[in-house]
Amino acid sequence: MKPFDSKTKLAEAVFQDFNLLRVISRFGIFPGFGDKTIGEICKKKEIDPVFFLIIVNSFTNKRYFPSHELADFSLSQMVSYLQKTHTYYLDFQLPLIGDMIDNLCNNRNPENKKLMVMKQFFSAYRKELTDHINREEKITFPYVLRIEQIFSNSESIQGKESDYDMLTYEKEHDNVEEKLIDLKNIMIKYLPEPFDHEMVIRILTELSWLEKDLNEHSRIEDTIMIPRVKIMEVGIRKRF
Amino acid sequence: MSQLKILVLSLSNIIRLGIQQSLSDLNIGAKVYLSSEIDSAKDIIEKLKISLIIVDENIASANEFEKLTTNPDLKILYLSFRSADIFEKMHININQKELGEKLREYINPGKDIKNQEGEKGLSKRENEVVRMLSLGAGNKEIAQKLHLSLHTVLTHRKNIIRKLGIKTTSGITVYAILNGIITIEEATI
Repeated sequence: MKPFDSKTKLAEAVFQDFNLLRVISRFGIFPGFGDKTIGEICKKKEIDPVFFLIIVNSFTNKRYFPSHELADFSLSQMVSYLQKTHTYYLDFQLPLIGDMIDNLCNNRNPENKKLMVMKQFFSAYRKELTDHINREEKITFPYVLRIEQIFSNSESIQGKESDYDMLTYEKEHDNVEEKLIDLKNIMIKYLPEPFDHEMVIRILTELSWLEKDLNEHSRIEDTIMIPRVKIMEVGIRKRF
Repeated sequence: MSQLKILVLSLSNIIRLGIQQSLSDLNIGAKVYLSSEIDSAKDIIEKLKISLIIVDENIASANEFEKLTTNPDLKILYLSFRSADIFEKMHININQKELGEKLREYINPGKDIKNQEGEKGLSKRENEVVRMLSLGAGNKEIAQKLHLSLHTVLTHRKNIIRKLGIKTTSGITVYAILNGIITIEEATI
């Protein structure tokens, strides 16, 4: 599949993958964009088209990797996008699924006390993901921004930055989705009757979307952000 | 069960990225790291607990490569441009299906995937292990109470994960409650 470029009509991109609507909403773009191209919309909304295309293309095509000249965007832009996705998880997607699971468990008709455990399991997952996000917000992102600043100002690393690096982050950056996969698996295979079938299907739809979105989120971190920061780290170390 | 971590070591960027893509297409949930030189590879192997290196034979013939091979648990698969005459080698022209098979044989020697299909449900013993895990017992405690060796407990755990498709202990606890193996009051999640 040919990657989208600034001349692609945004509506055509959305037709190819409907879930793109959820991604572009993070840039403040909502349905009703007519036949405008990606370039035109970015200009109007004051979005960097280079960065927008990286996000849109890597979301729709797993094999997409930005070519060298395209990779020249600022990390602060990337961090700000990743922070928006974090806000989306914490303020929208997790509460939405949480409400649906409450509804499933508290439903008196049919009554099934065992389902309460799904609520507990989801809260445990929600806490784990929230802690993971908070750690990235408090430690990783400030580090990334600092490295970019040091790199472009030709400063050298001193003090606390040297204790943490991208390798440490990579090491920690595993398996946040294990509980999520278990949750899906249990709902698909092991839920004992009686339960609200329609609600379970809706929950699974939202869990699957969360899983895809999280995978995409970490793929951007792993394949685009980490390598770029590492190059800067090496560049800074060579200054000594 | 820990995640499979693979390091791809080659001087060639094209080979590194090619192997990375092929591994990602296999969808075996492996985390792949890339390196082009032995010193940084050594660092990655130690810090990230890599379990398999796929190394291009050009780099493997260098003397310093021996530095990497001191850990007996680390498996090494050589990428060969001439012939893959021994089990530890694979040829550069290997196709996707063969690569998948090679990795499976390599990671789980002696296990035939096909024989594992068709197994359904947990055995009585596995159910007991699920019950104890859900009550918060650790491997040692389970071994003691059920009069099993630690090794046997670990084997049961692996089989439970494979049969149920549930990896986390809290997930197993949920399974145990939903299936009436323990009650919701007994558990802590």
